[in-house]
Amino acid sequence: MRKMLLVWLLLSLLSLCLAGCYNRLELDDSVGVTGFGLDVEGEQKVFLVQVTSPSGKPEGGQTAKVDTLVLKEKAAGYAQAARQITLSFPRTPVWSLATTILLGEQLAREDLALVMDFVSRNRFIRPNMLLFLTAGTTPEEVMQLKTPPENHSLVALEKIIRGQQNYAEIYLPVTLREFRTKYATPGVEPVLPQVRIEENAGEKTLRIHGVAVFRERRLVGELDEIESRGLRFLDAGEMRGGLVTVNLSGNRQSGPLEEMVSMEIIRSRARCTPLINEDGSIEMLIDIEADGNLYEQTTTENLQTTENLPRLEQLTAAAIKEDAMACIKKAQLLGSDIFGWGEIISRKHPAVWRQLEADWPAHFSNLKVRAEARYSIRRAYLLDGPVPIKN
Amino acid sequence: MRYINRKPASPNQGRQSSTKSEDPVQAKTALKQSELSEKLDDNLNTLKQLLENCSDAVTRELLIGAEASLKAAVLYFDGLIDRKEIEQHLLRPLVYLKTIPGLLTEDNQSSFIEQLSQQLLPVGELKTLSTFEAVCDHITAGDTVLLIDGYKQGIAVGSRSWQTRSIDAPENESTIFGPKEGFTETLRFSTAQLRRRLKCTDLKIEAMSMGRISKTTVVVCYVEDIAPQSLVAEIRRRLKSIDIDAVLDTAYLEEYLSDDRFSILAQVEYTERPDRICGHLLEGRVAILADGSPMAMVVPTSFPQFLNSGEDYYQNFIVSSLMRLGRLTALFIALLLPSVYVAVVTYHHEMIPLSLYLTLVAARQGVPFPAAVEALMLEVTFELLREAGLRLPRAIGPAVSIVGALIIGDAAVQAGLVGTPMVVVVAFTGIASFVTPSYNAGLMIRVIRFGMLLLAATLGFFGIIMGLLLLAIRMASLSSLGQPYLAPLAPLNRAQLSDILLRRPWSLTSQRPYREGMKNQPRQKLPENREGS
Repeated sequence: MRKMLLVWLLLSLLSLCLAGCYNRLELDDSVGVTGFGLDVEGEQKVFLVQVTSPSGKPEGGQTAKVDTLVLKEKAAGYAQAARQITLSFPRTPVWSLATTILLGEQLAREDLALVMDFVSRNRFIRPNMLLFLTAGTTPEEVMQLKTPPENHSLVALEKIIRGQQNYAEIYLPVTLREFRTKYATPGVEPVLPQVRIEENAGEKTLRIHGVAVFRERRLVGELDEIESRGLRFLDAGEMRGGLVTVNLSGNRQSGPLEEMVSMEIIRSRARCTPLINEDGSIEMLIDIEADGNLYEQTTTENLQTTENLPRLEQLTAAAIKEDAMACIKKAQLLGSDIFGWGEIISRKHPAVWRQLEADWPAHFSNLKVRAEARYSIRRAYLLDGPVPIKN
Repeated sequence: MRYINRKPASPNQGRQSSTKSEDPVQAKTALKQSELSEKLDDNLNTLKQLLENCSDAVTRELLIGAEASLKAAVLYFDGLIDRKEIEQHLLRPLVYLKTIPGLLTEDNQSSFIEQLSQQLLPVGELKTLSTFEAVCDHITAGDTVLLIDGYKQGIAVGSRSWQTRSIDAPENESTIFGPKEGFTETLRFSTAQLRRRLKCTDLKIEAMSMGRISKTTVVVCYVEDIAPQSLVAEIRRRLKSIDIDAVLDTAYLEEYLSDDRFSILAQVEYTERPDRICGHLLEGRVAILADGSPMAMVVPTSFPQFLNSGEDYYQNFIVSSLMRLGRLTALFIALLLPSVYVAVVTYHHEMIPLSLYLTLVAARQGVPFPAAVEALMLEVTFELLREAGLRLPRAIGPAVSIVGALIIGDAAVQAGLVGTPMVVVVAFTGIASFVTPSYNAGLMIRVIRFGMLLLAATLGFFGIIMGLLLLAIRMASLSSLGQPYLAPLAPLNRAQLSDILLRRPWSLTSQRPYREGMKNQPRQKLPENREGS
């Protein structure tokens, strides 16, 4: 009896080994996926995948040449289309290597719900993948684009959005997890950085330009670069870089060229507080606090004086406020609460939120906003004043 | 009883024919155990039977005493004795006896043997013997035996001296700092090296003879009061219980001193460095040395001990600590690198960064075997190369390394049989496996590595984790002479931890590692003002 039990135990344990190799995949039967694109064409769902294909062995210390292939399949569903790829392609794609998802503009205008299940349910799709919207172009075009020195346009895209964070800092990368949360949470709408193809002297290049704004399940509009910067200023997360250009004349757009000053942002954080007035109306108080350095000046005037420094600080603060207000205005115009104010209200004043919830986009559009920005200059790098000029 | 069958059945029927035994083996045993008789001729006849066909046995008969009236014989084995010593201090006094007849008178004849040993023979070691067995034991060990007509006793004279290797630096455990002496095959020189380092009567060197044929002297060394009495008693008990025909190396005793004889895990430590042995003795361990082997065995062992090198204690403690951490890393690399690589490459592609993935795919392009087979092939090749290089005559050595490096390393890749990354992985693993200072621990890691590789090839990371778990469970349940194998990691002893992963500076080491039954715990008296720090 005991022996039989042991034999059964052994057999069941051994059968575990049989299950072991089922997902075995040798490297040379696999192909690396840099990312994929999702779009619609009429009633058909379009699934695109950019794969890397090493052409030839590495020789004499050189790394292997790598080609980019874009595979495209259409079907009634994305999963179906993805599996159809194996009908025409000999290797198994390693989905989990992919880092980027491109959403087609057409799809975004129709309905996000078409893809949200696919990207959330599938175990090969990582929640930390980056999402982009292709604006004025299709995912296929972006994938096919040559982006030297990078071999794959999607890898280039990922590096661009991460790289700009340290210098220009206009756009925030959006991960699938974040997008999904905002998609599902009441009182906040998702945004996506947009990727465009620009043509300069016959050369097509990739450029991140603008932020796509969604309302509920659909794309409703976009923010331009200044508004995107405003959005970045309003984000609760701390900001690490970026330049704000101010003009001593006070006119940023068309002030005299020799009065331009570039101020660097090294720290910035925003606080949004809802204020319920006595009459029941809601007002959002925005408080932006930033630190930075004097980075460049075109005037020969000495700006590092006790009179000029506070002036510069005020000018910069005003510019920051201006960008933020531009963004808020656009969002209110589109009726999309991309800042998550609804969520803030629901947390701080749940009773008030319950009344507003049903018609929140309309309330959001009419919300009164009071913004305030402060900026302090910390350093001015290598110069104590302007570069001296020969008399 | 294997050895007995090999003896030719000789029809020797000596004085002891009265035993009426038909079995020549039993007859011989009886012959050996019988007492020496008073008649020298009878004694010599018996010994001649026992020493039949021993061409290196020498029997020198001589006449001593007044008017050369007394017959005597000197027996020894050629090559095991110092001839000059025997001529000077045994033969010469005996020959002089002839010219000093006054010394030998009838009345004190009864104590002539006593007289000889107490007054007349100027040698260091003397012993009176009464059985043939004792005679045989002494002459085979290198002593010279003197038999005199009319006396039932023989005299054994210590004359052991043979050609030995001189003491030189231990080849397998060379160090930069620290003493350069190693043990040699002659036990007495080895124990002398220990005594020279621990000049104290508390250092006990208990001897016992082991092996029915080899009659090897085995010594158990420990420092009284530091080594727990119960531990020494247990070792003594286990050694005494061994009944084996020969002990040709200390390693013969390893299994008997291991708590689990069938385990792959190394349960004793070997070293040929007297300074390392002394270090172990001072931590309450026990060393066992056998004549004819330069390797000393240390018990009880715990696993972390295998990662320590004797040199750690001769260097700056910061450097030594980093070295120990490095060795720990190397241990894991040696154990897991090929399996992790195979698991990642066959199951967990998402673990590889894209650029590395591309390199790996390009390198594996056209390789005909699965990664697991590729790894196994190269691992086996590496082990074979190592094994071949180990025993090669020096003149052929370079040839093997060239063949190994060129054919295996380069040509296999060129021919597309294996991928370059696998060669790198296996080479790195090979290097890491030589970092472990203890050779037998390194061997055990090598063997376990193959098991890990199979697990990784079938179950991926899941398999590796299962393998590690099994290994950890096995190690934690093992003991070495009653001491936990993973001490002080499990059971955890915080005070000792700092001397396992790191090397604690001496100024902070006031206690010996804890061992049950140890009486002498304090290692040094720290100055008052430093006690608290």
